[in-house]
Amino acid sequence: MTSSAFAGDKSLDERNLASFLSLPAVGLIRVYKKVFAPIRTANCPMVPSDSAFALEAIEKRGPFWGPLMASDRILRCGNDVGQYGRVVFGRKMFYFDPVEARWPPK
Amino acid sequence: MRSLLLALVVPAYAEPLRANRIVQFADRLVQEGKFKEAVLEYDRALFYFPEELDRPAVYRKLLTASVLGKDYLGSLELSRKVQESDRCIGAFFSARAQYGLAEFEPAKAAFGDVYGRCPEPERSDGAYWRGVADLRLHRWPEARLDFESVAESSPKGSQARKAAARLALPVDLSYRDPKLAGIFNAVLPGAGYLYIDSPRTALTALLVNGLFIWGTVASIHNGNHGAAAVLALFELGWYSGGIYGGVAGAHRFNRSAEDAWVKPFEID
Repeated sequence: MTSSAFAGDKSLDERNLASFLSLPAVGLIRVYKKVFAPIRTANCPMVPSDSAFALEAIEKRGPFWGPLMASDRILRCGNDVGQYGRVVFGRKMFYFDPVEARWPPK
Repeated sequence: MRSLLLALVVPAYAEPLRANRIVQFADRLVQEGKFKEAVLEYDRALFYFPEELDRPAVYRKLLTASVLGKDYLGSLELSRKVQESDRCIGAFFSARAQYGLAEFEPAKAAFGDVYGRCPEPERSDGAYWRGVADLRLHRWPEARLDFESVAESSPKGSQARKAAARLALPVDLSYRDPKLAGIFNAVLPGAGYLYIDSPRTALTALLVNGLFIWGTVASIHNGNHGAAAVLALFELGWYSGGIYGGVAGAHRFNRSAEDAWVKPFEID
């Protein structure tokens, strides 16, 4: 009875599992954004910011690929910026590096 | 009394809006980079003054503006509409929109069709863009033949000659092997980034990985296993993220190298 009732919900279950596994990483990033990001003096010159990139990557690519993409992004942040497009927000210039540009990995 | 006089005199001096003035205005919008607005103005001119205009020329301008605005799906739809009244112009821009959507193989076939069936200037444009599509497909000898078949008198003639001459020399895009970049980062964190010409990222990766490995090892030596587990977990993230970054970065490097080579030839 139980197995047949849930048989058709496999994709939903998988999605729930992905969301569940993402929770610790998403929680950590949200705490960082709320508590630590406002008191930092040096900011990443890239758009979206590292934390926003990480949240988006985990949301779009799941709990396995998302954190890998986030780690890669943190290592790249502010380095070798000549390879990124430039955008201006307000009066400040940023380097544009969206999640889509790193996914798929090819 | 004054307003009555004005009402009588002003209409006599007001010049009626002519088709060519709308087209001139649209041309100016294109020069200013306002492609979407230009498309609307060309369309307006065609709608109100279908008989007064050199329609093929305006169709070309309209579709060029649409392509320059990078609205390729819109361009595809527009070119299919234009195809009903001017088959060659519509077919050329339909192929151009496919190219913009990175569907290089069908775009090449469609440009070839334009080259085979249409008169100038679409014929030479078709040959030129078939060559550009071949560049994207890395078919250098075919691209060279395409560029050589562009008429010298065509607006793209000189550029086609330049491209053909460039293709007479060996093409080396200095690609980086993504697998190798990943393996390099796995063997020595940062080496893969160095391989894809990102030296500062390489140094960051080396330092961060080194620091976390050292922290993990030191924690184990001090018997602080909780801290060691946390540091090892983070290190696992940096390490595997670095491998991912090496692979993704190499692909990005290759795309940039190809763009740098092909983009100078993408002339509308």
